[in-house]
Amino acid sequence: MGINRREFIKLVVGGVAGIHVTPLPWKLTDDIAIWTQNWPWVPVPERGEFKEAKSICTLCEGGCGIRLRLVDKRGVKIESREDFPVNHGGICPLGMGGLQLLYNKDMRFTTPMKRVGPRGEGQFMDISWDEALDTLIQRLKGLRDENKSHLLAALDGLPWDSTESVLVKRFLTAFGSPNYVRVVDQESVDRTVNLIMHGINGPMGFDLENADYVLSFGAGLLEGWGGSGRILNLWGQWKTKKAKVVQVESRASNTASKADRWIAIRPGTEAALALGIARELVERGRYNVDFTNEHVFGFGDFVDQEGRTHKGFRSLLMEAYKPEKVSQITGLQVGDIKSIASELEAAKAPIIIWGRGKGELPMGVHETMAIHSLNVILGRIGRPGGIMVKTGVPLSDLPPPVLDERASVGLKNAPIGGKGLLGCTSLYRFAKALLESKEPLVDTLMIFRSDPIQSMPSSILLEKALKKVPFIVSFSPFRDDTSCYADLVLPDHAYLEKLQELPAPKGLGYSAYCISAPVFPAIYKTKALGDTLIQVAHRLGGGPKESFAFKGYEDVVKVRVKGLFEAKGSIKLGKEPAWKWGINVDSGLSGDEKKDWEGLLKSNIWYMPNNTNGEHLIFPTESKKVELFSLLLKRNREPLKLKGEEDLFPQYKPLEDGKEGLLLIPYEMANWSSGWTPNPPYLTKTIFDNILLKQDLFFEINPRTAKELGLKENDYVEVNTKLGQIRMRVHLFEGAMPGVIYAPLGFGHIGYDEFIKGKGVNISKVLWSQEDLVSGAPLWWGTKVKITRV
Amino acid sequence: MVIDLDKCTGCGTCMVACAHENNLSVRPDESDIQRKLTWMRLYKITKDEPYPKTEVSYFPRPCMQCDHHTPCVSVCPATATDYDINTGIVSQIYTRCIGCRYCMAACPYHARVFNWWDGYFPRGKGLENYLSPEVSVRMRGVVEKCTFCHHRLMRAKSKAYAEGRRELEEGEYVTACTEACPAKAITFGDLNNPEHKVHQLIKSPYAFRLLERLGTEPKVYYLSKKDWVRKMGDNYLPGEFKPVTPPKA
Repeated sequence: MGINRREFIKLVVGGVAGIHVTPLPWKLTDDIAIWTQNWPWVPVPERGEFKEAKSICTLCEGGCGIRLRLVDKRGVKIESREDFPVNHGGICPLGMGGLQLLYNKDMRFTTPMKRVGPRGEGQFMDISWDEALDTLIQRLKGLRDENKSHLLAALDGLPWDSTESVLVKRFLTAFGSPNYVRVVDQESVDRTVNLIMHGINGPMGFDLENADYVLSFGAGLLEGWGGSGRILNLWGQWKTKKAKVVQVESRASNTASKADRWIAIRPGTEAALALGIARELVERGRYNVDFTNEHVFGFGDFVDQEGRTHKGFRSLLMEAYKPEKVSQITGLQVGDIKSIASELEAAKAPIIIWGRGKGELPMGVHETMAIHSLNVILGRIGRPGGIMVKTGVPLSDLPPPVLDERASVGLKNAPIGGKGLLGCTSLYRFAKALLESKEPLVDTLMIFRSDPIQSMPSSILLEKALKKVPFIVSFSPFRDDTSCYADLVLPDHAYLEKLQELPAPKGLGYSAYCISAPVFPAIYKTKALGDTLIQVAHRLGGGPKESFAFKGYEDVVKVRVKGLFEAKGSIKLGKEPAWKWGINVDSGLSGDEKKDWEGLLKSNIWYMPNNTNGEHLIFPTESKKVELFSLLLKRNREPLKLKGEEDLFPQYKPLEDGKEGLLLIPYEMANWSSGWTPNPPYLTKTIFDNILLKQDLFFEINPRTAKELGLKENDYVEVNTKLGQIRMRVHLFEGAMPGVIYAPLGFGHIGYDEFIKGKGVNISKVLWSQEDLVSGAPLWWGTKVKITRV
Repeated sequence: MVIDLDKCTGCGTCMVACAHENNLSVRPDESDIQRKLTWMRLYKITKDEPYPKTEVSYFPRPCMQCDHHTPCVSVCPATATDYDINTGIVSQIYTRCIGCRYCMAACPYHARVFNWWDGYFPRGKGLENYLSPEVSVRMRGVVEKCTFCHHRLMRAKSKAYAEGRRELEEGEYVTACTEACPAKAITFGDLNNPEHKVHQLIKSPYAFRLLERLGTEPKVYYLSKKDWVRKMGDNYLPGEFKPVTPPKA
C-alpha cells in the first residue's frame, strides 16, 4: 500500500498536533535539562547543623575579631564581630576570604616535606614527621658538637613579642647562636623611633578612634595600613562624625581620593614637608609650648655637661626648612604648607601618622622621626586622639634560658650583619653580609612566617645570598615563595587550627592582647610551631632541653598571660568601647587561674583602656624626656656610622639611585596581600583588568608622560632598573604623577598554586635600595627605570 | 539597598563576602573580565581632570532588582528568572535556565554572569569544604546573578516564624555585602517601610540610581555629595546634568 499526498499531509498535520497534546516532548526537554545540569562533579555541599564560633584573625597583625559560621565541623563563612573593640565590625577582604587559605590543599604544606627539585622550583616530596625531625636534629647536633652553633640563623617574621617569637629567640640563645634576624618593616622602624625618641622598646599606637583631624604622610589607610578591619571601619566613622583626613601622597590612591584633602607631593619628600609645617608652626608660635618645655629635650639650643653649646631642633628648622625651600623639594605651593599648618592649629585632636602603603615596606628612621616631630611639638603624645607610646602588653617573662658551655661559646661570636638597636639583625644587612663574605657564614637558616623573597625590596640580592646557605628549613604552613628555597619543611598549623595569639595589634591606641583557641582540628599533618620547637629542643638535650622545660606550647602561653591577670586590664567586653579614655572597666577576673584562662579564651581579648593619670608622659630616655636630639643615637654614633650632629635630629634625606629615567614607585591594595599571607583565590575577582590581565601586570603612568615616551594603553614594555628587567604593560592613569610609574606589589609568585602562581611579576625583586644607617632597612623609593617598548 | 559612595573605600570586601556567601566558582584565571563570575562587582571611576585634580571612586554594583518592566524577567523564554511581588527580589532558578543569555543582553547593568564551566572546586583540593549548603553550586550553561542573599531572608523568616512573629525587624535580614562592609557604607532595609533607615536615606537630594531614566526603577540607591560621581550614574547630554545646590544652613 502506498502513501498518497493527502495521507502524507494528514500524517504530518496529525503528528504536529499530536505532539503538542502528548507530554512526551516536554518531559524529554525537562529531562534533558536535568541530565545536562546534574554533572556528578558539581559538588553538593553537605548539610548539617548551623553553629557559630568566635575567634580572631591572625592573617595580619591587625587583631580583628571574627565570627565563623559552621556547618557541623566545616567553616563556611567568616564574618566580623561587632562586639570586638579592635575592629568594631570591620573586616578586610583578606580576612573575609580566609577559609580558602585554610582548606586549599595546593596552597599549603600538608605534611613535612623535603625538596626534590632545584631550589626555587617548589618541588617537594612528602616525608614523615619522624624523618623530618631526625634530619633537622642531626644537623643541629652536628653543629653543636663541632662548637659551631653560631652557624645557625633564624629569620623571624612572627608578630613581635608573641610567644612563638619569644620561643624562637630563646631557642637560638639556648642553642648558642647570636643570629636572630628580622625583616625591617614599618613596624620595626616605628619601634626603633619609639626607642630613640621615647626610650621605649615597644610598639607605637595611634589613637585614631579619638582623633578629629588625621594628617597622613603616605599611610595607605585604605590600602591596608594598620589593621585593615579597624581602619576601614574607622573611615566610615570619621565620615559620620566629620573628622577630617588629609592625605599626603603622590598618587591618586583610594586614600588620597577619598580623603577630604589630597596633597600631591613628590614621592619620598614627605619628611621635608613635615619639617616645613613644623617650622611654620614654630614661627607662628602655635606649637605646644608647655609640652615642649616640660617634656621635650633638644627643642631649643642647649649646653651639654662639657659646656659646649649645641643647636636645637628649632634652630635647625629655621635654617634648613624655609617654606620656599620645602616648596622646591616637595613640588608643593608655599600656600599648601601654610594652610596645613593652619588646619593643624585649628584642630582639637589632630594626629599625624605616616607610612608608605600598608607598612610592609619601611620608611627611613630619620624621616619617620621628622614626621613624628610634628606630634611632639604639638604635644600629641599620650593624649586622647594622639600617639600612644606605651601600648606594649605586660606579659610575664619566661625564666631566663639556661646556657650550657657550647651555647656560651657560640654566643661570643658577633652576629652576622651586626645587631640593631632593637636587638635583632636586619635581614637586608644579613643578606648583604652573606653576599660579601667569601667564607660560609651560615650553615642552617630557619625561616618563620616570612616571605622576603616576595616582599623585601631588592630581594634579588637575597635570592643570591640564599645560594650561600647550605641548608634552609621553613616552618611555614603555606607554600610561599621563600619556602620554595627551603630544603626541609616542618609545616606549622594554619590560622584557626592553632592557639593563636597577638600581643599589641598593629597600631592600636591602647594595650590589648588577642588570643583564640583553635576553632578547627588540624586538617592536614601539621604541627604547632611552638610544639615543634619544644620537641626539637628536648631532643637536642643539654642547655636547650633545660631551657625548654615546658610540656607544650599552650603551657608557655599560660605562663606568659599570668602577667596580664596581674595588671589592671580586663577580659570582659563591656558596654563602653575599650578605646574610650578613663573608663572604669570590670576586670572580669576571678583570681582563679584556670577560670581566668577560660574567660580569656572566651572573650578572645585582654585590654587596658587609657586613662588620664599622666603615666603616658613618663619617658625612660637618657634625658627622661622626648628626645628630638637623640642621646641614644649619639652614644651609638660610631657603630651606626652616623656623621654630623644633624644625624641625631629628625631630618629629611633625599634618596636617589643616580640613574636617569622615570621613578618607579610600587603601590599596594587593600584587596591584595603583598606580604607573607597568600591571597585567597576570591581576591583575584576583585582585581581590575587594568592591573592584571591573564599573566600580564600593568603599571600606571600619566597620559602626558606616556605621550612623551610614545606609549599607549596596553602596550607591552620592558622596565629596566639597576637590578634587573621586568616585562609589564601600560595603563594610562590621570592619577599618576607625571614622571613616575606606579606598579602593584604582591604579584609574580613562584610559590602557591594555580590561582596565584606566575601571575604578573614581582616588583620588589628589582627595586633598587639603599641601607638605612640606623635600622638597616632597605630604602627603596629612589628607583629609576628605563622603559622600552617591545 | 542604599550605598553611600563617599563612605565606600573601594576595598572589595563586599565582593569577597558575596562570593563566599553564595558559593561562587573561582577559575584559575580570574583576570579575564568576560569570564569571571561576580555577583557584586566593583567599578572604578576616575574624575576626568588632569593631575593632581584627579580622583577615583567606586560603584559597588549588586543586582539592581528592577521594579518596573524588569528587563531580564520580561525577556526570559524559560521563566527561569522571576520578580517576586512580595519582596521585590528578582530570582534566578538555575535548573530552569537554558543558557540562552537573553537576560544578560537585556540587563542594562551587566549584573548577570554566565557559567561557561561547571563550578570549579576541584576534588581533592579541599576547596569544597567551605561551600555553604544554603546556596546551590551552579553547573555549566546557566546564568546566575545576585539574589539579595535570598537565603538569608528565608533564614530570618524561619527564625521569626519559630518565634511566632509575622514581621521581620529592621536589620534582621541583611545581605552578606551589607554585613561585610567594613566602613558601613551599605544600608539595607525595606524601602516602603517609613520606619526603616533606607526609606529616609533615599529622600536625600544626593541620592540617585544608576541609569535612572531607563525607567526600570532599580531598588539600589547610591548617595554621593560629589557631583562628578553622581554624573557618572547616567548618560547626560552636555549641560543636562544639574548639580545639587547644597541647602543653606
